[in-house]
Amino acid sequence: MSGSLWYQQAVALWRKDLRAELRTRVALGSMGVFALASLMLIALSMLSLKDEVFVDALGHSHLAWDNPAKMALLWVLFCFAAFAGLSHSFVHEESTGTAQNLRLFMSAHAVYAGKLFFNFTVLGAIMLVITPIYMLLTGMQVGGIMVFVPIMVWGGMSLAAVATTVAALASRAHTSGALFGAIGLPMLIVLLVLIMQAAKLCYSAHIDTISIVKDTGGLLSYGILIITLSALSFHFVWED
Amino acid sequence: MNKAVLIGLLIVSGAMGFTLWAFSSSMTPYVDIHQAEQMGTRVQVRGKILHNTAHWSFTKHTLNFMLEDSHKDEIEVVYHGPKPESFDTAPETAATGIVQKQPDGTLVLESSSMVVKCPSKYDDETKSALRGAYGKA
Amino acid sequence: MKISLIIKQKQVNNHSHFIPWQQVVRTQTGLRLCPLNTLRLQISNLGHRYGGRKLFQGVNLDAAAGTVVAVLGTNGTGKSTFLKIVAGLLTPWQGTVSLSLDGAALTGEKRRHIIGMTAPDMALYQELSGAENLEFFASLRGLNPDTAMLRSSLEKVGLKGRGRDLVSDYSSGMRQRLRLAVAQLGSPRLLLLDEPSSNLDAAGIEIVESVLNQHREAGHIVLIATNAPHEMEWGDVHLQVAQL
Repeated sequence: MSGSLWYQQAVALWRKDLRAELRTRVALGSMGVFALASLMLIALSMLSLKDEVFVDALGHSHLAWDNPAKMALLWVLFCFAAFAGLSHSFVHEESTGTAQNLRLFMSAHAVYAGKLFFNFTVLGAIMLVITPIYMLLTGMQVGGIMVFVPIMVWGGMSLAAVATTVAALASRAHTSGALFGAIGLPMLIVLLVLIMQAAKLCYSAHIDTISIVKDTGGLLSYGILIITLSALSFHFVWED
Repeated sequence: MNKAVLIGLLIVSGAMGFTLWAFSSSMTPYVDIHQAEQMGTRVQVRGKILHNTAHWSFTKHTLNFMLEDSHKDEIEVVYHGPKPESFDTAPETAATGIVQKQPDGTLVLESSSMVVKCPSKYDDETKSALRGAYGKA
Repeated sequence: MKISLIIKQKQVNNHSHFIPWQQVVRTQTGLRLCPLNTLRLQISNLGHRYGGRKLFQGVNLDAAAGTVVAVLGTNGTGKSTFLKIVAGLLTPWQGTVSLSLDGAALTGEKRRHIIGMTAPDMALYQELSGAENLEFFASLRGLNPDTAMLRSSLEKVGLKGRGRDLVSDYSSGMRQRLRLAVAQLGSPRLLLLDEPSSNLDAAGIEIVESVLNQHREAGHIVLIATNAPHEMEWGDVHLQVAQL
């Protein structure tokens, strides 16, 4: 297949999904409602948690809910939102019967790329709205900008990739619920561990170059790993 | 083999290697000194740096110091690598390595990686604000 | 010398339906005159099953360009499944389907690019308009879907002036017409129609017939899966799909 047609097909699918989404707002709606409800809950609980300080065994005092912990909760929120909304675009194609047309017209790689672009866009939009509100509510700081930005961009990319892959599997399996857990959980755990490791670095007093390369690069390479593996194996799932 | 698949597999192996490297440090368990002595595998030990025992050797590029954990147990750490900038002011550290027995029978944590723990400047800002508000330390 | 002359003529007439030269091809129905640069569909010993239930087996077909094949069989014998296998949407349980252009086998993207299909379970996007659906599928074919092209596609299937309406507001007959328009995008050399005139009124049925004639004249192969007597009549060849 020529490179340009592959790209043209992926972009056409992305545009079609975006157009349909802006008209129906199914994914944005489900993710937005979940995220805003969670933010309300966090805002209410924050009033008492904000001022808690504890002293550890070595005699140092720490904030009970420090910046890395706040970052962790933010990513819990993103994960739930991603899994609530990003599977829609795949599952909808299968349940309405439009997937047959996609199989007839498009290569499996182009379908995966188009859906991935779309999920990047939706998750990116949700993250752009939710992150500033969350930071205002919880007082979470940016920390080291050189680490914060890659956490958000590459972490978001990796999360969208994991959600897209799981959605593709779930849309083709009859036991989609079980598959969500069996495949999604290990992929998510690795991602969350990498994000938490980078978050610790983001808020530490001394950020050295090697740690930046290792922790943020780990997130990027994990995203690339998931995307490449999924792209290589997607046609086994997609085609009958 | 298909060229695209070959490129894909190359990317996968590269990305997997990098991810494993990034992931490996988070996989090393945090243990106290007593456990570290028992385990004999790669571990992370967190504790207070006893600064009066610290000695930096320019020639060998090693840093020797005593580490005290929350149970007040102590172990000598021999860290190989560049001295972390903030070591002298840091109250605590998490050293990654393996506990090894020296010829004279003493146990030493041979470490190649060390994270110097400073109370975060971001936490400090918030705490000083709290101190101001409540008038307590 | 003769061959080079033929190639020259072919390039000049590449985009027209005019067929100046012909070749003799031996098919199931005997010797046939067919245009050069033609497609050939060969199916041998095809069989399929879902789980333990056998649908059909031992189906053979050798169709040359310009043939309309009516695929017949009672309900549940697997006519739709047969078309999906030919389209490459399903892998057969046994047998082979080979599609070749001037003797060279077509596979992968080249194969996908010359196939158009309509089937009752191949849905369109309800949340998009008719024109938007066409625009999307035309982009997938690598075509440049400008307004004039979309308008003429809609006009051909009798949907003039309804392009901006959402497909969810279309009647079942209008959806079938739109499916027909989508299947014809890029003038596919192999057209697979599963019950093409279902839900269509008399005018719609005429449109299907004229589409068939156009493709036959252009030297394309058309397969129609049907039980309707008027659709059976359209076939030059009748292929019975049934369990042996």
